[in-house]
Amino acid sequence: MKLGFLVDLDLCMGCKGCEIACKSENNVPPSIWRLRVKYVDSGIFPDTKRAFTPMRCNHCDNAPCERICPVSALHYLDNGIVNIDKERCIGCAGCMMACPYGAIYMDPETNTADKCTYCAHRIEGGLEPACVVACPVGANLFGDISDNRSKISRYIMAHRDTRVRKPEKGTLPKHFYVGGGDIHLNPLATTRNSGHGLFNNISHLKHVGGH
Amino acid sequence: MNFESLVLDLPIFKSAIVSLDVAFTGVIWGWFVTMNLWGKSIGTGVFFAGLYMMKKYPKNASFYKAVIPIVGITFIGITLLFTALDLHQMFRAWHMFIYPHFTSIINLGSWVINIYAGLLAILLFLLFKQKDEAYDKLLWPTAIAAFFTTIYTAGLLAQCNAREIWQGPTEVVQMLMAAGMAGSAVLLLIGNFSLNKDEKTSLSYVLGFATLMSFTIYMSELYLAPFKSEEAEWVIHYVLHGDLSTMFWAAMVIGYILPMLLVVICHKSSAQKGLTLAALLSLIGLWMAKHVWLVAPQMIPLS
Repeated sequence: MKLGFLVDLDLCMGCKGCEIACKSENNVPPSIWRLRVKYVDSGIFPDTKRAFTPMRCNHCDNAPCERICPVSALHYLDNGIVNIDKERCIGCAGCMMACPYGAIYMDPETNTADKCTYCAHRIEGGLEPACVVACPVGANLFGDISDNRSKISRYIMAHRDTRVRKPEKGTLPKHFYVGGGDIHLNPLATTRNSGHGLFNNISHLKHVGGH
Repeated sequence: MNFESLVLDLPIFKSAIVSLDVAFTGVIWGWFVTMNLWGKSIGTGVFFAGLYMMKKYPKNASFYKAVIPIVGITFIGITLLFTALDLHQMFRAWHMFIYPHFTSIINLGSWVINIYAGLLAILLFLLFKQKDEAYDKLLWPTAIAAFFTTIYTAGLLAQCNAREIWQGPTEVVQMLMAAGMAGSAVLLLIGNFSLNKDEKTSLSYVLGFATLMSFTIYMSELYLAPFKSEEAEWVIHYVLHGDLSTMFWAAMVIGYILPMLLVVICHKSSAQKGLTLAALLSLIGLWMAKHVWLVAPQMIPLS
């Protein structure tokens, strides 16, 4: 079994229900997100467009975070999930330097690395990840990508515009996007103004975790 | 009109603006890690330079035999101290040894550097016990440990998939050259009053060569054969023209160009007072250059 994720960006409407469900399910501390939806505005009035991109850990098949972790705190589960053992983590931040997707953060409460685990605890109990359940339009698909008959596999096969983030990094991500363009998936294709956001004015997070 | 394809094809494309996102995490590996890189360069460089001088000038071997373990263990100690301080859970550092993950260069490096520190401690013990024969026998195993201690960081940086400019194959050479610079500079400073003219000249050649090589590699990586990916281009832009450019060029002038000039001038004029200044400047410039190289790739958004 190889669990994977897919987001249909043509369906996502940026409601952030998945973000909140994830935060609530996993007790993610304030100012930190395991999963977040990025808004990107493009164009010139009146031809403007807003793109929504949910972003989480890619649970790579060839995960650089797992390889660099000096104490195996980051490890593969049999179902393909890249899990983290917070009791073992020493907080060296090597994984944060290795992950090309910026998916790992330092938890300010435990001073250890943390990230999306595809809700491994829920999956163990036969449930779907919290973000999948919360999505009102079914934009999030989750399932076994090694099984050709699974819904996610059939969705990938049916959509020729299925993409992953930064394939050139050779990480073999198991998180797919349908309908995305460069402004959705390439962080360098957009301008990131500091000083303001749509709903808040936090543009730079003071380094958390003790120093 | 398909507006998205229009904005993708035209320069206007960059006008796509992130209007809502989480805060940018910023620099995670900061000056504590720079201290690690700098301290390690001195801690291993003093061994290499000292060993070379010991073999070339056996009459003054006692000086180098004393300096190698004392300076080496001090700066490897500084390296280990800042490494531990940089851990968010420093009291779990022992997990490195009870839960070792041998694909991780961080883990392998922690073994290597501790072995090197242990060997330096034994050398120090043998020095005080005046057991010269045993000291000499231990020099070559220590040299091997010093070599791997010097280069493991290049392997560690190469595992950082998100930071492309750290992953260049020249990083290993840069680490060795940094050790050459730092080791010869420290010996020039410590031996200012006790080394003879020939010894200082030999050390200045090591300093000049290592500085020239390192400077050439930096310029090659940034100008002659720069990295080609979009991500690396952004980082190089930060280094050459962005927020870090002042510090980078100051590092190049202070730590590389001026020491090289001073070495040449001192060699031409046979006056050696400038070598002390060259040594001091190269140590300062090395710290600054390492810091820029460490911080720059952490300044671009990853997602």
